[in-house]
Amino acid sequence: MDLTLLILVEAFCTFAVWSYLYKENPAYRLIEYLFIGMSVGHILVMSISSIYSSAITPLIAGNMLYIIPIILGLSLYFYFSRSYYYLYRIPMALLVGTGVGLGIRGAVHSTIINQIIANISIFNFGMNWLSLLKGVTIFVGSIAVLYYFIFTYYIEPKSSIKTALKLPRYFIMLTFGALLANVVMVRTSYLSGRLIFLWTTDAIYTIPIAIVIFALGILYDKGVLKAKKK
Amino acid sequence: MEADTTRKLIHLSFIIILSLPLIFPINIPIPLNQSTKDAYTTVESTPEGSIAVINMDFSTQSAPECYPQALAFLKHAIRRHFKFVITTFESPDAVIYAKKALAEVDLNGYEYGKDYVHLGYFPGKETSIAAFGQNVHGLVKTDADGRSIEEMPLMQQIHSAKDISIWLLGSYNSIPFITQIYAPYNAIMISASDGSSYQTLYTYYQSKQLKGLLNGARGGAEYEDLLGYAGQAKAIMNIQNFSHIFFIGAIFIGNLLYFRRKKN
Repeated sequence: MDLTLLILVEAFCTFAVWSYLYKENPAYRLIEYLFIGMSVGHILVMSISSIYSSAITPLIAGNMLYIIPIILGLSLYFYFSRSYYYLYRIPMALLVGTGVGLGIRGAVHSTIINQIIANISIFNFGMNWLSLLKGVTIFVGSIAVLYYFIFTYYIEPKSSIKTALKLPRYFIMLTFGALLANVVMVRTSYLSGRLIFLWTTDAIYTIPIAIVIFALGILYDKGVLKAKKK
Repeated sequence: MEADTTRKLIHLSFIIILSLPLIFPINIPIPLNQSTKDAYTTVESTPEGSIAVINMDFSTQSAPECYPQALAFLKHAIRRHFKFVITTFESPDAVIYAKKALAEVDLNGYEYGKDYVHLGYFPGKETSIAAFGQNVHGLVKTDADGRSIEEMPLMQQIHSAKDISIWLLGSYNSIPFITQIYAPYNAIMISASDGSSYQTLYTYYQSKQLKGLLNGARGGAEYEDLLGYAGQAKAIMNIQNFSHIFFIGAIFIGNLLYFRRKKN
């Protein structure tokens, strides 16, 4: 596609999506459907070409073992058949089994053992006071939050330590706050990407046109243009 | 004023204010995070000519944050004369960005197949990552453009994760790599992140499973600073600084109006 046309299409898509901020409209819906359709289409093509290169090509070349994953993959479609549903369970069991097996292999080492080691090793007094404070906060926070999620037994705490037991809640609230702040920053980055495109490429010429179209659209929606027509 | 009109005005003013640093460019310095510095140092301490995997895994939506980080990794790998392969395991969209990145960098002195290969996308996510680590040629038959990899000199040197010196993960979710590649092969890896996955990944950096970690666009801007160029991440950070001023102002005005209404 010609570069100028590509920029025009990209700019139109951006403004059409932004028009949702005023209200839902046909231009926004068009881009929404187009985006979903193109994403699904792209994933489908990539997946088919990957299956072709990694399974069909070796099979054609004479490696008959590749027939097994192909049959197993096709068996997943028995999900839609009431009579042969049991055949769907075979590849599904293999998928779940492999997934869980692989997950446990890495998770035990990376998510449990290494995290515990990291939490213990914060008691390295060779560090400066700021690192130590950070380490102690992580250690206390981890223990406190883990305690908060133990539901297997409950002992009524004495009133004197009831206040201290609010600590995990504060840690969780602080974490959620930081997470939300980062999510806001991420969304701002997405918007920044669009703004950089609009202001630093030839798309800059589409900005006044878009403003005029937006203004006309709003006037039409408010009934101003309709009234004049009458 | 109606709530709906106020909302629309906030959106409009937000877009206008965020456009200001693009109309009147400013360059606000960004303090360097230790996790970014560690990522840079890890790449610098890897011998020249080593074999690297540059994983690009991000969707179109997260590209504004993740693409500059992945591009910075690619530029650094070229500067260190690494031989590299580019992979994608989660988001097929990233294949397009990988091609864009390869077109954007200076590959003078690099020969396709001998010094770098773009392997493209493999479906299967974590399972594929594990298979790649175990037996590269068992999983990969062709490159991103459908050419057989068997005759490529670089691919003859790569058989499993043991043959990779460093993993540069330009993706928003690097946890499958940590569980499937770091854990069994004790691989050296640094990772990018988007702002929302940074906290999760930080625990892996803190436990030294990741040797370095970039924090979204900010991390990308810091890395661009270290490499000595101003790219898209730097531009995004300038805009973000304005957005922070906007948010603080909006929170202040919102609270002021709330207490004034309460008083009345």
